[in-house]
Amino acid sequence: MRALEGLSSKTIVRYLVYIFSLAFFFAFILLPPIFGILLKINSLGEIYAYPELLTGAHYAIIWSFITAFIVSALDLIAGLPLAWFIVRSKSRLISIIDTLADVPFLIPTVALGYSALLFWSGSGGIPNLFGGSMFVSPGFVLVLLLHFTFSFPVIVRVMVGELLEYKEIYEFAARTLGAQPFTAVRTITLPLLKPALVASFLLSFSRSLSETGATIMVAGTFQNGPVYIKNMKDMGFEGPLVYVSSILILTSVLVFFLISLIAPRSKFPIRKVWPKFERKLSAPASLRLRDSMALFVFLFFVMAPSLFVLLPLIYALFDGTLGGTLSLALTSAGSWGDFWGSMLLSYSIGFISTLTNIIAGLPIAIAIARKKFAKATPILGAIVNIPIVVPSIALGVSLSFFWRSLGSIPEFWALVFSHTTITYTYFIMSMSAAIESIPTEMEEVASTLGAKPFTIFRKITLPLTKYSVFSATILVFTRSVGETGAAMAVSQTLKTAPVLLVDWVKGGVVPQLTLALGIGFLILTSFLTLLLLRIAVRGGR
Amino acid sequence: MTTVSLVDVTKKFDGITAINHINLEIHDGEYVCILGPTGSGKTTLLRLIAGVIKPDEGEICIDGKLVNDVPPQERGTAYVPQQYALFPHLRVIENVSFGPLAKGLNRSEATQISMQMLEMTRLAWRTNSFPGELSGGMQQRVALARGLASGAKLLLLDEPLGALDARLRVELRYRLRELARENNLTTIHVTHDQEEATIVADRIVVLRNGQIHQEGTPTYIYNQPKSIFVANFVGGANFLEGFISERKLGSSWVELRGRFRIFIKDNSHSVGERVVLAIREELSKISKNGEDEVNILRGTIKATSFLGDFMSYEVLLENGDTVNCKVPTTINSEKFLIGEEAFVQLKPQDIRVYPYPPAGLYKELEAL
Repeated sequence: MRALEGLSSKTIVRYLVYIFSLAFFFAFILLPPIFGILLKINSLGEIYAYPELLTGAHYAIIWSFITAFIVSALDLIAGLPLAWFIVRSKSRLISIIDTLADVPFLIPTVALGYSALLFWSGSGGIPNLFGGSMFVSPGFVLVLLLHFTFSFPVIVRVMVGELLEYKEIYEFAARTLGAQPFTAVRTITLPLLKPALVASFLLSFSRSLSETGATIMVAGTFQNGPVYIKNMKDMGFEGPLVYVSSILILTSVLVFFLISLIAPRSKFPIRKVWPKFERKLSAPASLRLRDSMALFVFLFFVMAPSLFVLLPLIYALFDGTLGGTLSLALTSAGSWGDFWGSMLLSYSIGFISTLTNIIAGLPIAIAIARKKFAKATPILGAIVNIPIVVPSIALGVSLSFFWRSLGSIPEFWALVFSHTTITYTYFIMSMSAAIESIPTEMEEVASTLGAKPFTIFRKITLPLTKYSVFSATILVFTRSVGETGAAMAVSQTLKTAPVLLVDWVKGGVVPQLTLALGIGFLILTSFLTLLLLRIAVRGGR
Repeated sequence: MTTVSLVDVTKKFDGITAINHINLEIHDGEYVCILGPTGSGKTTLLRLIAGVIKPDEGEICIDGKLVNDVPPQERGTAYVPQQYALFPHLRVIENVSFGPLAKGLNRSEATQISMQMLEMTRLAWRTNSFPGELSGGMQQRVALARGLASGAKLLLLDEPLGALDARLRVELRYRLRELARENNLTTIHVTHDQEEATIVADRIVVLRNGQIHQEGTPTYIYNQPKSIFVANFVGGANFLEGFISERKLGSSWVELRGRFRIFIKDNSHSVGERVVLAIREELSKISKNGEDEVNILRGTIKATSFLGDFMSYEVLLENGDTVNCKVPTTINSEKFLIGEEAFVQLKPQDIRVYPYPPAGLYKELEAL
């Protein structure tokens, strides 16, 4: 420690740290996907030989954006009341809802996709209520419902955080001036929360645009960008693969930055007030209706589809078939050998890529938060976003071209590097936001008291951001373990757990109970990891 | 015509009593200052009247009407919170016309009223600015204009001058008073600044630990402070510890430490009882020669400070007590140097006597 602290006060060492982490950023995060696409730019023309594939490609891209827009808008409309309810409710029970809202976020999306499929279209799910008729068959509507489910917690999480920070005094002032509560929220609170609304919309938007594994499970014959890419990869059409990937990458970056530039400037157009109508909307009865609607949507459209996968397991528990499957699983019989192999692979990749992100990402997070690169800082802050803006399967496609072009790289490491790229942004963004929230004065005071930079980091910055380090680590780790799109694009012989599960569902050869149990194991292990991390963070105080 | 009355009002937060059974009547057109140290419950009291929080017990009436369950938007108050809470995304004119629009007036009516208010607060020239572009004093005036434009006759001000620099604070407090009088407003003004309170208020209500400690006109509070706390908080004073050594008809003798004896015009305490004497610093006379009068104490000058209008001398008495004397800065007033001998006279009619506080004198003086 002492040696590190001594080193940290040397300017040259600090420069070296920044140079190393910037070099890492360019060599492993930013440039590989760009070079990957450029390498295959020649095969782009192939698609014109197949007119029907070309039309399919365009439809797939357009449907990706349509889905993302509809889903994010609906999520915002439904998520905001729930966030409001969570923050403003005086009931103690609300903390349960608050915790539950994170559950779908922690379930790997493939598991969620399968669960939603069972819930909406499975014989034991919703169709059961309608005499077995398929109410929502796999296809566009089911994709919408699924995306709604997994984007919902993102919106709620962001908005709850923002509402907690929001100074209620503005609302009080508006109300004492004669505004009905609804008017106050509409004209004061929401416009002030606009940056957060835009941010959560964008998060939900890029999540919907990017999701692959779950979407494939519920897509049926419907194709959006990622599904199309997966289909082309399976059929071995490289031209269409490159075509859709490159267009998706470019358009999603473009749309993302357009929204983030234009949306904050848009004005809430309506300043007119309808006192009588808004008074009715503010009446206790309307509020109760709003709260119950928010709860209903949450429980029926988010929680139930997320956890429905556990139902076959519960059935199996009662009819006694669970024991048999469980013993097969634990003895690695049949397809279970593959399963445990892929679980080990997923967790090893998750562990290495998380660790890499922490080591190589922390200096960049600090640099962005503390504006160490002067005028280049906001530019860096913007490009760091690219990996999450871009659909992960498209990113995976270009990454796989790049890493395979280097020839000798083992597949395992190609997978590790692409998972690192995919999760990099999550770590940087949450860490730099956390560091930014610490007043620089604290660090300045510590340095006038004689502390060296590394000491300040260890004794002041890190303890104050401990919770964020924890949540950033969780985010990166669970994203890595749950990642399907990029893994699918890169993998040739090795299969991570989500990829294997998609194969199981699509292949249809594995018994239903085995599938449910496999997904149950994936959910269980992610919860256990979280729990371990939480204990580690608490203990390491 | 706007009156406010609080009957036995109590408010608790997480089991901590912020307002403890308060009874208060505020008359039409009255300007009342709620004065108290941090944590005394001033802001809570104001928020209860504005209706943004509800009392746990008791009744709040505005114009004789029970308003406990009336939401803030129907109470007709102009609440100006600390730091003003101007809406940062709206221009000055939009901030001011917010109230009239929210009450359903059309745009031209709302603008007309708002312009009137902005003219009254001399801000008509900044209508298109955003709050962030204005100085603290201007922001405060926008907040006032916004409150008044909503048509309220009850003005609730929470530390309205607290965020301003000293000069502006002095200037604006007269303006506040004028504005309230011109518009026939009933005003409740919360502050921890006793000087501000004594200057603007018709009546001061001293709040301590969520209870009304003393109320009355500024001169009454200043001249008849009910307790050591009020004497110290409003105007400040010298405090001397002692006990009653002799009790007579209408007067007593108090013995300080070092056997100093002080004659007081009060005989409400029994012989042997521990007491604290309080005397205003400007009433503590200082002179070079100890004339042969009552209550003359000898000491030496320990420190001097120039306060502009006043010269303040810190005198270390022979018995070890310290007394501050404030002398108007005039050409012919006597000047003292540090270390010089001086005599302090405490006139019996200026001395107030309080029982010794159970928690000790220092604790009582620190409770600000």
